[in-house]
Amino acid sequence: MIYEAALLLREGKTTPTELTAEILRKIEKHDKDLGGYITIADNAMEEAKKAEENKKDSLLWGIPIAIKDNICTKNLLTTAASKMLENFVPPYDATVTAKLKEAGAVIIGKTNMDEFGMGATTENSAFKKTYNPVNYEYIPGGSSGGSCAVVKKGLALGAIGTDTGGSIRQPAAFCGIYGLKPTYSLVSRYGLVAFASGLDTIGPVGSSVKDLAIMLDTIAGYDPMDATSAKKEKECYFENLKENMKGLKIGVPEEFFQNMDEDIKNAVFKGIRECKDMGAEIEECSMPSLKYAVSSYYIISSSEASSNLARYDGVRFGKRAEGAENVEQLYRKTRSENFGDEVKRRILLGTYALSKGSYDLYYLKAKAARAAIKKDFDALFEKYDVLLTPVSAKRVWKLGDKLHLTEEYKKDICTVAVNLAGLPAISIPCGEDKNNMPVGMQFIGNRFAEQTLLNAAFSFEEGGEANGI
Amino acid sequence: MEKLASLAKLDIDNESNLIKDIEDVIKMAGELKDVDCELSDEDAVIELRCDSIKESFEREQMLENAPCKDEGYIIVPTLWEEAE
Repeated sequence: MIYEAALLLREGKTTPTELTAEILRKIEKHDKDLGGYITIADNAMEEAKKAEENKKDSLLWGIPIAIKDNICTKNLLTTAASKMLENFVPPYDATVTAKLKEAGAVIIGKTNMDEFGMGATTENSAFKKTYNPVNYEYIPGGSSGGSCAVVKKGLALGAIGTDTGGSIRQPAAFCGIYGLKPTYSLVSRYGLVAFASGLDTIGPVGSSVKDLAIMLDTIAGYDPMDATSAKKEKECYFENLKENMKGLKIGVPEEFFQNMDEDIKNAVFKGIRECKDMGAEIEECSMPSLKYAVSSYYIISSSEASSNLARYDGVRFGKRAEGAENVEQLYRKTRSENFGDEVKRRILLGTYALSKGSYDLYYLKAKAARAAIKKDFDALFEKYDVLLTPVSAKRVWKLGDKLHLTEEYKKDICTVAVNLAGLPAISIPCGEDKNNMPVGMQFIGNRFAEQTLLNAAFSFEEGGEANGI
Repeated sequence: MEKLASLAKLDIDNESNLIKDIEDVIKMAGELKDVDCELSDEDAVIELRCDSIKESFEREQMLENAPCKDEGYIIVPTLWEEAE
């Protein structure tokens, strides 16, 4: 939709203000029921007017874009869906936000999410629930559930999400749209509300592969404000988008296909057959270390979260509890009253994993598992251009449906290994489950192989359309 | 659990499911004991910015998000009682 709208803008068939007004009308009409946004930018029309007077070459010029609410937007509320940051108005833009504005995009609002990115349903937001736009009885996935829901419903032409353990790819799959988790360090995290700094990535969600490429072109690149940012020559993902399926070597690691719902397996296998029909060379392969991915992920991400979230102490910014008589009480009361249960759970787990006596047993072992996962991926990428897997082994579930906690965590098996290895991966729609809800499959690439991934996804999108997907 | 809660600066209700949840996840993570892989330090290289003084934000602007402030300072509860 970004690409198509950009063409209309260039041909003068619409204007940034018309486009923004239309999106705002749709938000007004639908978001009450959808719950995709936490905040609507009240200066969106003003920004659209400014864009109109200052035409840019970028394909994002005049395009209304939504941003997940854990990415700082100057003078616009940024809550990370936490009571702790209920009133936090950043005095600066995240690098990603600044780049979007520089390209002439219109920031339309901030999308709902699981608190601090911790969750897979968007039900952990302190403020509201977001519903799956395909069927409101279902969750949209998470944690970037708001970003994916608003794009699917047409309440933004594209959106930015974040992915620490699958938070872009899984909701994109559940909402039936496209989502890209870039290589760790490709997109600056300056101005991102940190969850797990060694895993956090920022990436685009959109209704086509072209839209992802257009957004990635704008947000990728070196940033001295992020010490982990990669010094790399800028690529032109959109310009170089082309079909590459013929002769593409695709590995299909069997471990990703265990304990799957049968209808999901069928949809993904159908996708694999489509790739084969388009000329890809498909081969089954193995990734033995995948069995450690969920445990390793939850230990490492929670450890990093316990340290990162120590900053919320009621002193410098964020909420402060009333009635504390000393500093210790101030810290404990503030944190206990303003963090949700899932956030507390992860902080406690991380604190435990890093504490004396547990560090060797859990944290170092989790790091060793991470090294094993990286090693396995490296070996696979010596043989294959990309790997093809499900995004979720389980079909999307209804709001309120809950399993035992560790079973919930295990649902992340298909996405977390990618974050542990710092690799890029793209989630693309490949069919429907037995409830007529969307199913996604995932291409995983080697570090900085975004172009290969986008091209593979583009081939599938084009070929898939021809085949009626 | 009280030790853990104290380290994490949280108050945990004994009735809460949180304790059981943490125990379950730790039990699950017990599978990591079988991992046999050398740790590599390849991801430890981070290039830091030059530690130089430059303009960033105005004091007042930064204090706008402070929950309790007075004349350019953040107010906190008393840290030390005055000696008798």
